[in-house]
Amino acid sequence: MRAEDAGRALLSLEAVGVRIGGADILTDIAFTVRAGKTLGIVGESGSGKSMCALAAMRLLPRGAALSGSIGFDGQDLARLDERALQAIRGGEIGMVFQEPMTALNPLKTIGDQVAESLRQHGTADVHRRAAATLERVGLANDTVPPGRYPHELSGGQRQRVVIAIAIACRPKLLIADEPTTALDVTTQAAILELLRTLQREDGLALVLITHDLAVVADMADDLVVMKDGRVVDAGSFDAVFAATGSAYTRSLITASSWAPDPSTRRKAGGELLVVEGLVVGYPAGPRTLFGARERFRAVDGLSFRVEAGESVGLVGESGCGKSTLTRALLGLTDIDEGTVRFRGETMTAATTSTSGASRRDPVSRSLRREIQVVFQDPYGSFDPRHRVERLVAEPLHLLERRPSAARRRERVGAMLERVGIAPGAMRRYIHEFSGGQRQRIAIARALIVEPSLVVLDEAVSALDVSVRAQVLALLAELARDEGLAYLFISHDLSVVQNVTDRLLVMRAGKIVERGDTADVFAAPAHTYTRALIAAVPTLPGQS
Amino acid sequence: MIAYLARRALVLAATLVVASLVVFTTIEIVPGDPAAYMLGLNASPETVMALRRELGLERSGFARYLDWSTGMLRGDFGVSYTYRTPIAGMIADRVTVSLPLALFALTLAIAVALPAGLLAASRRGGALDTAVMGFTQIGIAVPNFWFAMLLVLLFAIELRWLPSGGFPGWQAGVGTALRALILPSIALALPQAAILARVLRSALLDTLGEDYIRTARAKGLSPRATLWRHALRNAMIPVLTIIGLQFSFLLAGAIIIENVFFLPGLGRLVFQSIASRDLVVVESVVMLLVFAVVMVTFLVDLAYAWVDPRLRR
Amino acid sequence: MRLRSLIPGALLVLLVVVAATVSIVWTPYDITRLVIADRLQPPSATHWLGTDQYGRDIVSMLMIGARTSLVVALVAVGIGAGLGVPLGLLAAARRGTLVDEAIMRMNDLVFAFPALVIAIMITAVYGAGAVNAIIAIGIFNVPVFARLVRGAALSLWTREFVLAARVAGKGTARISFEHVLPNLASLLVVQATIQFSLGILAEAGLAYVGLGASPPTPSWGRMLAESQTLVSIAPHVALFPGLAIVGAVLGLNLLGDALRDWLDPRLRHAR
Repeated sequence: MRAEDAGRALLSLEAVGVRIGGADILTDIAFTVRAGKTLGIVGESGSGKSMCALAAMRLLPRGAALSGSIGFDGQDLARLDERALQAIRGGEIGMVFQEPMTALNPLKTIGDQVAESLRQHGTADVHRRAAATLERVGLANDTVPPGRYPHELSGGQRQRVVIAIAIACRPKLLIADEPTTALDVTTQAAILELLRTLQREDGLALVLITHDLAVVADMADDLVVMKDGRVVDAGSFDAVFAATGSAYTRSLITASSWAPDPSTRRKAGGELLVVEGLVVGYPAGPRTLFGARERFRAVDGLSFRVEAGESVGLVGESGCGKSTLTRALLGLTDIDEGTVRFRGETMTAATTSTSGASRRDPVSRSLRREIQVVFQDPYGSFDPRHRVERLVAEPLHLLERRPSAARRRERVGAMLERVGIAPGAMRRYIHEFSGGQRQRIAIARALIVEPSLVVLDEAVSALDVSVRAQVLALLAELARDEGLAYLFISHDLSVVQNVTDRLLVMRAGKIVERGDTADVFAAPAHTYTRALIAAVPTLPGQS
Repeated sequence: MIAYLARRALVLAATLVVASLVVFTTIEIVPGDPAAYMLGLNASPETVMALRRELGLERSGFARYLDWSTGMLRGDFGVSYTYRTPIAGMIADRVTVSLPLALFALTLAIAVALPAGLLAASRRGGALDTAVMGFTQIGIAVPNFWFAMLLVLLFAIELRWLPSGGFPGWQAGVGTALRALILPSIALALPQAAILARVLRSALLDTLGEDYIRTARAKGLSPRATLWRHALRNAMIPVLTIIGLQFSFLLAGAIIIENVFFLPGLGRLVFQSIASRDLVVVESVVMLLVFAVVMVTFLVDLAYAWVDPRLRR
Repeated sequence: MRLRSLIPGALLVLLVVVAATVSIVWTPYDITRLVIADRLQPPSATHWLGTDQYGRDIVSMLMIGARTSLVVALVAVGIGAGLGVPLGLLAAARRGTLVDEAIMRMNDLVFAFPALVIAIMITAVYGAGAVNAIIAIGIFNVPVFARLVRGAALSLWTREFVLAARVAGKGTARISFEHVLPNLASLLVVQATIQFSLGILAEAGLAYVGLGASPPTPSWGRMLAESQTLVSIAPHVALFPGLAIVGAVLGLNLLGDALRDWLDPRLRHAR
């Protein structure tokens, strides 16, 4: 691309609106993507940022009405007919979506799927070109042959294939809608690096849509901030980020770098949870003739402890075994070797049973009362058919004497107030509440039996950044007031950095590094920890 | 894949064995004395004894079962009490009518259902879609034997285009024989086609909502190309499941249809045997039908492995 | 909710149910009396749908036949759900164990026998009759429900709200009843409607080949069988029972579709 081409307007949206079924999803959207540059579009869920991308590609859902103009390279995409658009999609504008696991057709090889893009836009010698494109995105033909099927690849590899499909015909513009949200932090860093390389090599313009301000900070030249279907801020990244950004943008930035007041933490001391030599496995891999499978050790000889009142973080990427560990700690899965003790009492020990849900609950009630959990998914962690009162009251099943209905209502009401939800909510159903509110209700449920330790299993990962800050603040306050200990399990290092006292880094079933959080971040000892920390994107002004 | 198929084959073989036990026990053990049952209430004790000796009923149940099951594996189904001929031969004769009928009907059903389901899904919400859904809604509610009667009334009696029943045999010429099977096959195929069309439409619509369809459109594929190259093959998987499940209904339907058209197939054989209390024949035919269903289940599993690379590990 | 399906469906079903219920106390004519002089009359003012070959009023025959169809299909669904649902819940709760394997193999076994074949086996030994028809169709319904419940329950067991219940110390039986079963309810209702309509078809088929309710109990299927030889002389005798079957089955299917839409959780909580 010639020097004078770089920087000119390539894609311009003006007064773009999208209406679906009488509701305005997008209103008066205007921004410009410059050739060879990167535009970041940030916003929380429901801000309409994905809808912008779909509108630009004219791939809106059925029944959607589009208004305004979408200028691309001299043409107005909003006025083109379907045939002309098909030439542009994939040929001039490529698109990468969020979920790599489902973005590829499971019945076709990856080579075929890339070749299809080439064939669609009239290229010759498609299979050789497809193989070459796969090499470009980092899938070497000898290790990951084009004849492989998607299910044989990891999430990061599949995303590379999707990128290959998008850039195979050397388009001028690549739209990436949350391309790394579903990926681990190290994989995310690698994919973002790939996008940067492709941009450099091809002079590709890039639109990067994300909810993560830090990701955008590393990559974007220009920035658009969206809220509720409107553009709140637009301009060069530095301008928006520095001083001239709107109040909303400022609040997003603050929320992204929230940290609790360190002096308010109270530590009671004393051993609570002691894990020794824990080994948990499950059958995995190809089945033999009689259905037997090898036993994969998801947790491979782990030992650690949690003391009263402290907050311990457990970080690791997907597949490291932390979910299996969580289940073992909560007594939801059998363990193969080792022990889990709580205040000296054995909670779970290895048994010979092989089923996931044992007939008899192996953990005693009194112990269960001490450890409770808040799960990740605010939508799936509640029975949609029960009212909030019944949901929050469920752990009361563990008490020696069940409270009367009136007493129960009292306790639930008090608990809801404590977490910032009006007590009248207990008569409603869970679907009436937002994600952040549901997590508060989940915290109420976890605390109603007054446990000593709360396991937070990716409890804030599914929340928007501003809501996340609120929930973390609530958790800090509760810890201080009730002397709670937390086991904070997450893949997100930036969250963990601010809210934990000690840190455990997990990989392939083992703990590879442990220590005070501040120390680990300042001077990581293990190479894996270093790689993890280096991969975390940071906002300007953070360390 | 080999391991997967081998395991399925084992499971199905085990199912067959247990099924044979069930059939044998229900028909020979439970009624008490099969010989007395077959001869009826008025039979003299001597005739009953004679029959008992003839059928070898003096031996233990288990010995008889072993004999019977190993005999079937060899192709020996015993001798019919009523006709005094080897059952294997009778069955072979009947199968040459029943099997082509079932296959003909299945082919017709798929040939009608595939385009109908495709059209309905590709023009979702349109007039064609509504029409297809309307027709299929009625199609699944129509009993195939009643539809057969209506077909006979129209095509055989009023228009005289096709025979109203009977089967001339394959030796009379393939064309003539097939003519006799047209109306029965259509009657059988109607509800099957309706079900398959609905299932295909629903599977296609589900598939069209998947993420990889969005990827295909983002490549620049037209909606039709997306439907053909991506949605259709993926939608075939649930359709295959339904074909497998429906096969047992198809068989049952074939048995009933043979009654309407007086076709000398397995269906008529089994009903005649029930009427004449020829338990040995009933046993054998029932076992054969069960075997056919299990066989089709296995073929569906094979088809899965062929279509879906995820099963081929 | 799809009113297009609901209204005709509900009307048809209502018609059949009302006819069946009323027939217990009253029918236009007494069908136990055979008036040969009036045989094979086409529809008229006195006999709205005509008479059959024995002079019996067809409307009355259809009403009592409705009763047979509904009772057989209903009890068969009752057997299927009554046995199949607990089995499916048990299999899902004990996933991967011997109990689960056993239930799945039992399902495979019953599925290998078409309902008609089960009926053949039973009637070959015990004779024909409505009870045997009910048993045959009922037995076939059991694995249908068991498989459906097991599949749906398995995916529910992995949901986090079930994990939350386990962390609250609840056992598998409690969880199956408090959490799993209520979330399956809509699926079960829809499937029950489908099996009900299939049951009516199956009863008609069995009655047609003589394996259903024995005479003199009228049954739509047997009416069709008896009318087969007369179809050219008096088509109305063959037409109306068939239309009755189509009407009842169609009505139930439409009702089932409308129910499915109404109970779809995605449509319920549209936000």
